[in-house]
Amino acid sequence: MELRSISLEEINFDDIRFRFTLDKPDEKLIFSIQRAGLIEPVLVKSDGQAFILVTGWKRVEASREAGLKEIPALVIPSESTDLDLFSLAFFESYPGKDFSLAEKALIIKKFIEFGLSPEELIEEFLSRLELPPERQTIDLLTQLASLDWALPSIHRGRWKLSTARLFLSFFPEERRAIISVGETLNHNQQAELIELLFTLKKRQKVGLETILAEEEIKPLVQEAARERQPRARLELLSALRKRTFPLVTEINREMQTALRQINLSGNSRLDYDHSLEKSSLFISFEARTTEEIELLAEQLKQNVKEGKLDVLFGLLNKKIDK
Amino acid sequence: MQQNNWIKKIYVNRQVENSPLVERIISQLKPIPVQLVERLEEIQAELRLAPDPIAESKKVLFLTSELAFIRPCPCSPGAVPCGYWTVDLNLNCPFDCSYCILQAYFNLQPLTIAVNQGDLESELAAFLAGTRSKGLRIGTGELGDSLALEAISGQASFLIDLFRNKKGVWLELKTKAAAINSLLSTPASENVILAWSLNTERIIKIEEIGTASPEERLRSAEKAVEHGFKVAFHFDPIIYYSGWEKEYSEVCEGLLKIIPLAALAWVSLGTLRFPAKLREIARQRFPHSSIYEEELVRGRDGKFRYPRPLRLKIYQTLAEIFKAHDGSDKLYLCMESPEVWEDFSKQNKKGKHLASPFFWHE
Repeated sequence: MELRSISLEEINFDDIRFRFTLDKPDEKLIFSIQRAGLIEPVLVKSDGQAFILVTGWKRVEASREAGLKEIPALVIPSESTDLDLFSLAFFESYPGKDFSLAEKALIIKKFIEFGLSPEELIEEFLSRLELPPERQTIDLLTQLASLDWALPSIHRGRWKLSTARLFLSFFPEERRAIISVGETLNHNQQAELIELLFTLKKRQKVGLETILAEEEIKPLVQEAARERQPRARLELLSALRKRTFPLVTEINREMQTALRQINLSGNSRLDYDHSLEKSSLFISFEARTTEEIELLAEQLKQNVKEGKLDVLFGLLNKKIDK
Repeated sequence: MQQNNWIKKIYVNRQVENSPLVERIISQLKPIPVQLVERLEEIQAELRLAPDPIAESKKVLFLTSELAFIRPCPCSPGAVPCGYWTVDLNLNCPFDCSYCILQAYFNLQPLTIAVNQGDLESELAAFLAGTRSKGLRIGTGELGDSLALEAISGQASFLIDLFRNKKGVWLELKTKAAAINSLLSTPASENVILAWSLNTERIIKIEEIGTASPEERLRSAEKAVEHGFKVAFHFDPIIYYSGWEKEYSEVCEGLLKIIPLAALAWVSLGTLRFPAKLREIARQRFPHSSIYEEELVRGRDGKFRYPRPLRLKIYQTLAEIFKAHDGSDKLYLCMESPEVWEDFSKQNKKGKHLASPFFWHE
């Protein structure tokens, strides 16, 4: 390998065959390069006309942002195969990088394109990438990697394999709608959004379009598309929860209404198991004097007398007739 | 499932290659190819390459030995345990049910037969000597179907003879198969219960691939009763769907019409429950199934269940049918919380089972 200084103009940025990282350079890296230059050389290969980046995409992008014209590079001998070079790129990042699922998908897809067999991938790489070492993992991630347009969102959202699996079960146009609606939500919220949409779609045996066009949902979807803030999306999640869990949502709503009717002093709290698995009420309170305890006891007694606690217990033991 | 034509290959653990049972099984299944292996991992490495490794694991047979067979049934954290014990001479199941927990429980376990069944004799003697529990129930249907591989292994017949006349112990053989002819050549034993998992025809057709129809199961149970066996039934998992009430009621009525109460040992009720991992696997393996898309709430044990009011409604609907036939004392709930048990007992057991909800402990 030859260490030399190369011009950024000599790099063919359209050739992304060895790229599998999706992080963009951050302010710190750009500032550091502005001040000290690029210290660690990138790896490149020459195709006779231009250089192809093997490693160092983020550093090169940061160098461009920092206004550098030339960077140090190690030029790899041209006889190396693409599989050798991609392995090199992978192993350079592997020890220090926590790959996202989107990056793992690109790694798998590219290893296959460069000629690694599924058996070799299962044996050598999947467990090391904390993925189930099975053929179907390869199939799923290869499919995911083909969705170039979705990978940045999947990467930012730090999706798990289970979320990706559900996502891929939607039709292509439905996937675009999900990515658009889920933008700006965090990973757990995105996972929940996909789970809820999948459940409703299957339960109602309709397309996603029909669900998103429902009376209660449509205005929230439209608002979410307009707004960059997550507020509208969170309201959409809440509406979807209500649609998915109608029985539990309704009893919880009635419980909240009934709880608001209970008069207790400020430092006490009445609560219950919101999953409705338990039929008991929990009372927590803080008291500094016996008078405060007496006051609470008196208030509870009054609420019992007025039948307000019976309403709560009635709801917690609600029977379904039909 | 009778012709064993679903088995593509037999793997034999080198340690047991000279076992008479291995020789018998291989010759019975000729010309299915046989491969000697040193370790289970060798089989798993091949299964991993299949598009559906779980489906594949049901098509290969592994003949091996096990160190121990008797284990306590793990139940579920927070549920009222029924004190069940399992005896596992085989692992995994040729049937393919969308809700089967074994999909998440096993890590690529082929259909496994422990051919050192003779070792169970001393293990059982030591186990029974060390236990004080009265009314002990022990069964084989937890990690595999009790009768699906019977034509190959003969293990159910072996167990019936082993448990015969053991006082205070019930052996339960739990199945979704209908073929019991081989058991009918063995004299019945008072403490051996043949049990069938039951569901509606619709659920069996869609969700229980390869299993016998409800009618076939009930006919087999009828034959077992005629032969002198006591029988049991497990409505588990009960699935909520449009029309569930009518269809489950029909199955209960059908059961009570065919099986006399005196021959009925027990009937368990359990609604669908599962950990998140199972749902992930099953959604992928059974895209036609929609049982995972109803209103299901995650409990403290991490398992999803129908909301408590719905579960109670389901249990009560079925219990009313048994009540009408004076059979509600035969009922118990599987993996249910003390709250649900209490409610159920108040309505169906006149409060007498609150301390110990399981009548076989009395």
